Amino acid sequence: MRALDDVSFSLDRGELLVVAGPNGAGKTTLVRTVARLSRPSAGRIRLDGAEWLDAPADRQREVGLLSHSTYLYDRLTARENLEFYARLYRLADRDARIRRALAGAGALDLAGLRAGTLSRGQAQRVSIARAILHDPGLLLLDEPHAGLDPHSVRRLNGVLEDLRTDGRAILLTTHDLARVPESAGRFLILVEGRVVDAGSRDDARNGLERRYERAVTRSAGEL
Amino acid sequence: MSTFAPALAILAKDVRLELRRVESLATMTVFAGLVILIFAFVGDPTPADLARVGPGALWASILFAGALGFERWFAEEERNAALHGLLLAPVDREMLFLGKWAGGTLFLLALEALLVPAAATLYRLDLGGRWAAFAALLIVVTIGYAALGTFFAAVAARTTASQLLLPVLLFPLSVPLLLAGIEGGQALAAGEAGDYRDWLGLALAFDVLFGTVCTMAFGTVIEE
Repeated sequence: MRALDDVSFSLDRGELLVVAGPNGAGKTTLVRTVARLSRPSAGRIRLDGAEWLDAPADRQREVGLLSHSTYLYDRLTARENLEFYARLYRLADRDARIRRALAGAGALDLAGLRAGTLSRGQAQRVSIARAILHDPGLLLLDEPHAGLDPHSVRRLNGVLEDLRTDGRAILLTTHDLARVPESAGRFLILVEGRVVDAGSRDDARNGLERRYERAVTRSAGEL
Repeated sequence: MSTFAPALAILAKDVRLELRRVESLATMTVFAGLVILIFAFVGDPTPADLARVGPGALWASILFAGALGFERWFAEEERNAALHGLLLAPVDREMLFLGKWAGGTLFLLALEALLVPAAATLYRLDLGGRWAAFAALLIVVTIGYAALGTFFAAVAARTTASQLLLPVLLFPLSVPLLLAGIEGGQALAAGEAGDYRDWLGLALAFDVLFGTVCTMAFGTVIEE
């Protein structure tokens, strides 16, 4: 069985592309493949016009990833976590970058708290700071709203909008279209590893959610 | 910026984490201390028996306690999927391994700094002033053992039975190093400098072999 089959799309800077699908649709596989955490058996990815899958490790700094796992060390504070990642990425002017990333993610007030003591929403904000610390052009967000309360969802969407208008290309996966930021430009609906529908922001206002529900229900019925 | 900056960053992070989680090193020390103590009471040994089995008891305790530590140290990377954070970084996989390997070596040496005086006292080990040579042997064997332990902890962490699997993978391959540690220590105690050098050389050779293979294969092990 193929986790992803004939999935093709492009994404521009300043654009937010939403990939929606039920559990098991292949959303995480898609994100992990683009992030080069998983290697596809076939297919190609181009980033800024160049082949991506075999690019040198140093180009990895062009991508930031926010997953439902935080990638944070519980016993380190938010600032110490970011310091570690800044050293790993060999960033210059680390203090200023950490401060900027925390501010960008709305997490400045969390800098001195240990990651293990943070709530889900707080940890997600620190994770965003981690993902944008090295100023990537492409931001991958795998179900970033998972486990967040409505207030945290609104706050996260505000941060994402700032990041998009800042010129980043953002790919966001979700199984809940209702939580997607207003500024999302395009939508792909992924079911069982295949793109079964696609739409624009206007479609989102005119029934894309119903089409999504129908596609998911149809897929569930076939199982 | 140094080529080894990412490895040093991982080492510094692991040291900081370890200092905030003293229970890991404390558990290993207690466990290793008990192993040393139990060996000292097996078969109502004479002082001569104790001196003979001392190096073996010391290395057995390091071997067992080390396996505990490697599992714990790598588990830190699995929590919150932090390992993915490392894999996302623009860093060669070899650097990630070097950082983790350096941490494992450092923590084992810290453990040994506590165990060796205890074992020396309990087993009345008399090296005739050749403690520097013994320290060299200890360091060389520890470096190789930490390479294996770090590598197989990464392998075992990808399975559902990591605590069971790690010793099964680690101990058989550690035998040459263990032998070099025991025999080299006994040769040192007996004043047989030639034999000591042979065992030290063997341990060094295995360090190079294990270090190279584990460093090169680490990327394959941790990627999916």
